[in-house]
Amino acid sequence: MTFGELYEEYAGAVYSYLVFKLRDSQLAEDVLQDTFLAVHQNNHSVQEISSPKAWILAIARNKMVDALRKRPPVENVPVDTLRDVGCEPASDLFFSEALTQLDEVDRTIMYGLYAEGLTCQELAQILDIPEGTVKSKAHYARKKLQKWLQEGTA
Amino acid sequence: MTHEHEDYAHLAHEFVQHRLSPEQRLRVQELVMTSPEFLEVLTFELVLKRKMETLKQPLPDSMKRRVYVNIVFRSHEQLYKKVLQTVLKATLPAITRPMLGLLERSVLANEQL
Repeated sequence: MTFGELYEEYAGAVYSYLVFKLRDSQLAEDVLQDTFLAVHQNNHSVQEISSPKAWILAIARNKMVDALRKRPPVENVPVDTLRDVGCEPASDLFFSEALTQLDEVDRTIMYGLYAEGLTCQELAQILDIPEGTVKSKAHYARKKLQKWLQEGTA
Repeated sequence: MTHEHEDYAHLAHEFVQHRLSPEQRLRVQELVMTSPEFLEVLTFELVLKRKMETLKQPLPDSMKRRVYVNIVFRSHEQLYKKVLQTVLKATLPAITRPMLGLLERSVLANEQL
């Protein structure tokens, strides 16, 4: 794939992932640029990669960590701010709140599995953890969400 | 987690993600008709997928173009710098090398020359 094709195919998914993680569209744009600049510089190696999407999202994750290290520390973002960033209707607000009860890695796994349609193997590559851990975390995160949603709507 | 539960969850998830073979899709249809437990798992998978998709943020077209142009520009700039450095190192006399080093490190970037 050429760089233009990679950008066309995956820029949207990378941006969405970054906004989901960072809750800051300006910072997400900066990290998106750093990510695809790295992709542009290493484009020759994409032919050997089984999942370009996982490869690019793994680069995005590393660039995001770098960007967060450089950024001055901020207080935890309250749940209300999440509503401002997302465009979800009121009926989905309870779900967003339930999601914030999960830890960071579990939330990323659930987002990757359901919003981006990634496999456990791809998520293991992105998060740099064993595939078995992804499966197990996904199983327990699913159970927790199910329980919270049932309790919330009961 | 029993083996059957694990199998149901995996099957339902892959079905929702459209990653099953025709035979596996038939098995899903069968289970939907015969297993309330599987139906519950499948329904929750569909709920999760729908709700998670509402969290996706579209990349604005203007931002998409801006980032692409910046990347191409920065890549060309880096290439141009490399070529220029190589040419200057090969052509300038050795006595000018320290000055070239200063320029490369942008030491004089904000100086009033």
